[in-house]
Amino acid sequence: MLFINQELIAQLLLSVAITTSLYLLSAISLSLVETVFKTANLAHGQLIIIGAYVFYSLDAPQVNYFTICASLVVLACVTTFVLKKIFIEPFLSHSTELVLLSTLILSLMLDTIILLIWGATTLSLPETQTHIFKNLFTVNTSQVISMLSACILPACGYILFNFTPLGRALRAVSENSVSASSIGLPKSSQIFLVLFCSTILAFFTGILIAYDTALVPNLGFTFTFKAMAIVILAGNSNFIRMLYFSFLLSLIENVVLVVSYNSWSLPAIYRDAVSYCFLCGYLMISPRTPKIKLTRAY
Amino acid sequence: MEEYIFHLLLVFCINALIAQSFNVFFGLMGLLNLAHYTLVAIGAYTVALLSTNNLVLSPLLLVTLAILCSAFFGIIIYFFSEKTNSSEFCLVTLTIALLIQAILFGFTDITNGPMGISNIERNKLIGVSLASTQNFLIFVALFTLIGLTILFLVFKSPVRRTLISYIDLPHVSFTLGVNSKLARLLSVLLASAVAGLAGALLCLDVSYVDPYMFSLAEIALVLLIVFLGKPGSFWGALLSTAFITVLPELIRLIKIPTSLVGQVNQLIYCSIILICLYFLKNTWHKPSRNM
Repeated sequence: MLFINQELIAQLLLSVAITTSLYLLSAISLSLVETVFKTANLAHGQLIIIGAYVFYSLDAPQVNYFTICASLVVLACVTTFVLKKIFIEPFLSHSTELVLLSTLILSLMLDTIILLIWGATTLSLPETQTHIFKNLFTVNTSQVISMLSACILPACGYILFNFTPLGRALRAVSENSVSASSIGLPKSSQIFLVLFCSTILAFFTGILIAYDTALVPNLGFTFTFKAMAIVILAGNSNFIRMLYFSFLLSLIENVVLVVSYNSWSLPAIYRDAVSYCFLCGYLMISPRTPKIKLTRAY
Repeated sequence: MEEYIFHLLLVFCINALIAQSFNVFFGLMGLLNLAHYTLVAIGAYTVALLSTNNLVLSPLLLVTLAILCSAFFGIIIYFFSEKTNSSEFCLVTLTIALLIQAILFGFTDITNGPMGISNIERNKLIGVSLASTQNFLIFVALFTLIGLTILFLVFKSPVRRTLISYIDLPHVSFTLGVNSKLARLLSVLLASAVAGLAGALLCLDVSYVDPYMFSLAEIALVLLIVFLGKPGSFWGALLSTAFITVLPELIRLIKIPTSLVGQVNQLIYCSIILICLYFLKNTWHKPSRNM
């Protein structure tokens, strides 16, 4: 008989909320680049993990939070500059596929750099956070920040994109870069700004991940794929759909681990596969996402 | 030295088969098949499982069975390619890849889980032992030649034009009565079969398989090969395969501390590819398209 451990339900719901917020933040930062450049940054997961590792390195020796934030902002500036000047700008005017390839190369390089600096061992932050709501479930302050930021940051992004001159300029560059530059919108600075926002959001997601999960060097690809899956399913960077699919993905991932049938439960290694299967099944039977125009690879 | 060159040639043959079959999916059909290494894994595991169950099967039979299994799996991929658009196809193939990966890890009774299957022996082929590298290289070269010739025919035949017309102008192609379904099915079947063949040869070459050999990150290498050679270009992919195969060997000549050798080599490797990409970027949009 199908059985769900009742005691775990409250904790399960909390895990779902935290995972949803992490997936949502990674999907939003990925879709930011995708909306403006019409191509994906395949090194996005690695940027998230770099943020997590840098935070780990600074937080473990008890560096104060202001220094950590300042260091991460400086790192984000440098990363964005390198990303723009070396991996995106030289290729963007030629083909979006070239940007895919250059960011793929970057992802391999970042994976190697992570291995060089932090090694292959699993790292995790010591749990020193204050626990609240102890009666119903255990939640710490970083998890609350994670959930709150998943609500606040997209709202800020929505306001920025829809109600500010900067947002209008970004949309103009995204929709027709030639017309945008002919009316005097500086394309180069727009590219920098979008990349910077995406990188800083990725680093922030990385910090939350550092609190939530143990860090392993090859975690980057997993996050890229998950964010990509959510962006593809949501289609056209629709925030509500992104939230919906992030929730669905994290719900299935968490539920399959606590459901058992006649004392048999699904091994953890099937967690990702089952959730993706469900999403694909959903894709097959649901009303379709807006059809993306078929284009050849070149 | 001779053994080393033979080894390089073996790696080139296997990489060429994997890259060209991916080129059919990506270059001709516009499909980013993230389950491509799954097709290779199916070929490799078919050979590994049939070789280790006290069955003394001819390598020819093993390779044929691997090809058939991968081609059958290709039908599933074809089914999804018909039902989804290009982005959704990425997601579906990602799911398939993860599912098969989980099965390879989880079904320990059959696949031996993360430990993999080792001691895969190469049996005799028509009285000739394949244990020596030289004989095995001839065997691999022969199959590579067959596989690549079949794919070359796809690249040079009307099937290519049908596939291009379906991707570029699907409505016009439909109005003109072009039977693109058959061409697509044929291409997927052939590409899957060749990927399975590569898996079988890889398994026989290293005498060992484990799920890590077919992880999702491996797709990055094959993507690099196809991108560098220009998607849809047969000779381009072949040249870039040679380049990608030889490059790590050239990098090894640089003296690097032993503890850092792997990572530093990988960084140099990626940097060289990036520099090549930078200088090749102007030629990117000039594929000849004889419609």
